Amino acid sequence: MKLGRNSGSIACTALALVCAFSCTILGGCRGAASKREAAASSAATSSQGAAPKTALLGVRLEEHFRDDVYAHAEDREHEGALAKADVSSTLVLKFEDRRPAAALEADPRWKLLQRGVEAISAHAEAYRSLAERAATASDDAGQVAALQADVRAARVAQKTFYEQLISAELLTPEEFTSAVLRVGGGFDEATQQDIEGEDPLAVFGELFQSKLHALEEQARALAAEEHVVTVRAVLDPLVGPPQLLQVPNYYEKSDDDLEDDRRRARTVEFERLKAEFEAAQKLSTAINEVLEKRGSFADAAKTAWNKLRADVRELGDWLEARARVLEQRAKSALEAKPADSGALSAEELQFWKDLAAFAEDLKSLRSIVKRVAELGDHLNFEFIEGLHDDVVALKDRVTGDGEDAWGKRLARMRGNLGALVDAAAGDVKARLEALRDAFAADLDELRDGLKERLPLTAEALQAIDTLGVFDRTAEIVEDGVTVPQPLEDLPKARLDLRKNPVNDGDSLAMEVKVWRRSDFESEDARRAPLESYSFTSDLIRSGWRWSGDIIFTRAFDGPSSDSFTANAAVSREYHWYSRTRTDSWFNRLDPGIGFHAAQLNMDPDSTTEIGVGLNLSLWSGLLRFGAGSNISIDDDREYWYFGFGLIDALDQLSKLRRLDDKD
Amino acid sequence: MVNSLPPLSLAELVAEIEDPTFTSYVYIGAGSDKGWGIAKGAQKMIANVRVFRVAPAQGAEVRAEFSVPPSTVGIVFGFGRDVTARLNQATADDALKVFEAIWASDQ
Repeated sequence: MKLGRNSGSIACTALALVCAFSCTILGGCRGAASKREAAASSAATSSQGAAPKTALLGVRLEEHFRDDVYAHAEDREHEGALAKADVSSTLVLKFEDRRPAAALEADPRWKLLQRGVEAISAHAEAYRSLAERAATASDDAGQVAALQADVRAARVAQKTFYEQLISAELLTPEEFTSAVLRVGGGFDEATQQDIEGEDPLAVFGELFQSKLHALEEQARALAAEEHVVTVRAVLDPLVGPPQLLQVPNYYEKSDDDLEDDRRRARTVEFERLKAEFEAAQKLSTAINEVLEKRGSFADAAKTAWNKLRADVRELGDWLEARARVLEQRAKSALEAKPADSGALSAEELQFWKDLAAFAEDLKSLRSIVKRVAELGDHLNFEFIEGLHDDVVALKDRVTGDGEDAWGKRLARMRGNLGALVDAAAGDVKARLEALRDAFAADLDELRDGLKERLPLTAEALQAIDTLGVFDRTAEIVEDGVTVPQPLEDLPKARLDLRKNPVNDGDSLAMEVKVWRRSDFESEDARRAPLESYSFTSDLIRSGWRWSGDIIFTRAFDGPSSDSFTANAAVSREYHWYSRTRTDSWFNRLDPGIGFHAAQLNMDPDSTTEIGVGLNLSLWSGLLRFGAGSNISIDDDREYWYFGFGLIDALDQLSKLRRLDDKD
Repeated sequence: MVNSLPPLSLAELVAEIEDPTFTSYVYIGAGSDKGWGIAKGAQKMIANVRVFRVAPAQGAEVRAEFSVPPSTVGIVFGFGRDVTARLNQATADDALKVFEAIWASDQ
């Protein structure tokens, strides 16, 4: 029973981890994988569908890593695509104001001018062709008529084009005359000879180009004061809640500067490792208990899961039965309470008061029982945290020393009930005597049972709650000021990850939004940006990484060579990531090599055992192998192990869980 | 290409104008006139139009030949010697008006 109550919940988590682990290693969770792909595909589709193709803003995300620059994503075509950025790189968002292009694309004048050079070329070609035909034409009336018809057609096309330019106010009569005079050329008074003019294509091409520039300027000027851009960097860490990072020029954190961020980075990394190691320790204890009972880990995990459910059921049944009986008795007893409180003695008043408080505790107990039974259905850290707090509060009342403690209250109730029995007569006396005997016996039993069970439940919940640091469902805290920048003069958004609290395994989203200024400044909750871009990067660490691991060790020789023992370890490994071949097998395997220190249990006579050695890992530390020497014992010191990084496994579990929640 | 009168004679000018494969525009004025510059531009831009300059001294003779008033400095012809438009100085100095007249001369 100890295993089930003390570590059953942890074993449940261990089982889920093993499942997640197996899914990842063996690629067995095809359903989940396809769901993930479908979700990603769906997200990409919806985000693209929401925004028009005529983007006002061009965005390019670059990663400056060491001396190289990698383009992660460009424009909305890549929106939603995952990339990997190194935690020691700088991410740079470069912007291009595309409003003129967007505005001009919809402007018929722009299209007309763009067609202008092509039209003039066509006119020149018709001119040359018709002149050649005229030069070689015979006197044949039909041939002449055909030529004349073609001349008319060519002139109509030319006339239509210039009329369109003039009606669109792209060409004034004065401009036209001026251009024609340049084409026509001059006159030399001295020789009385005409001077050759310029090529019509060059003259009008230049004119149209200047008009295009004018339209661009006009479009830019019209749009200049209307749009602003915001940029936020949302860090979704493996450890702790999501948070906003400082993005100079775009998001300024309150009372913060880069130095603070750097300091926080060390704290977060330390906290993460600490939490990971503590969780590994707890998990190893639970798994070892299971292993002691069963030889095979898989069987043990399965048994542990079943045992947890059985324990929860048993605990629930036990509590439910007693709580229901007692609640009923308390209710009956309260019904016997005299209507006129003024006539009651102080002892009796206290008794009824205690009984009412006790009835409330019983209600609370039944609620806890119900929620404990639900625990097997979902793993929600907020739910577990609330349940844990309630269990601890009830435990304090049952086992504590305070005025509300059940021990004191029970003794007082017994005394007061005794006084009531003495004072009563007839049927009432008989009923109260029966109540006193049964109630007191049941209360004792309940109290003893709860004294044993509640601390274990609280401990188990606490163990799960320790893993709650990995919960990523918390809301983002707005701890800074969003600085909108005018679209026509956007500074680069630069995020130096070395100066921010980021770690490998975290996810970072750079969110860019284009707003109408009036919408951005509005306090309307329904306000929405015109365009949104989101570039998400999974953060990796090329180089040295810390990891807290759950490992299964076995000695090469001696008594500990017969079976695996679960232990906790801290490892430090070097990892490589190829940025030129991002889809390579090497990157998918993400191998690492390094060394570790492990907390071992190879010798029953030794209380503290430490092992050190070398290790290799695959899939970013998800699967780890190692060998080392137990430096705390004298014989059979060498051991080997396999294990996994706890955070990576939890991350897999979290992803699978979130997919299940979506379904 | 000789496109001025003189050295062309009136008879030669008329013969050129009567070519059915071209329309024509005759400008009466000096070589340095704005109207003549526009006329030369029109010849380089509009398909199958030929332009001729008549020196002011021969202007009356040409106007009489084609029965146009003395105020006319620009005479637009279709395919042949039919006059399709008569332009005064102000109109002949406006390229758009000249072009419109020539574009319409082939109807």
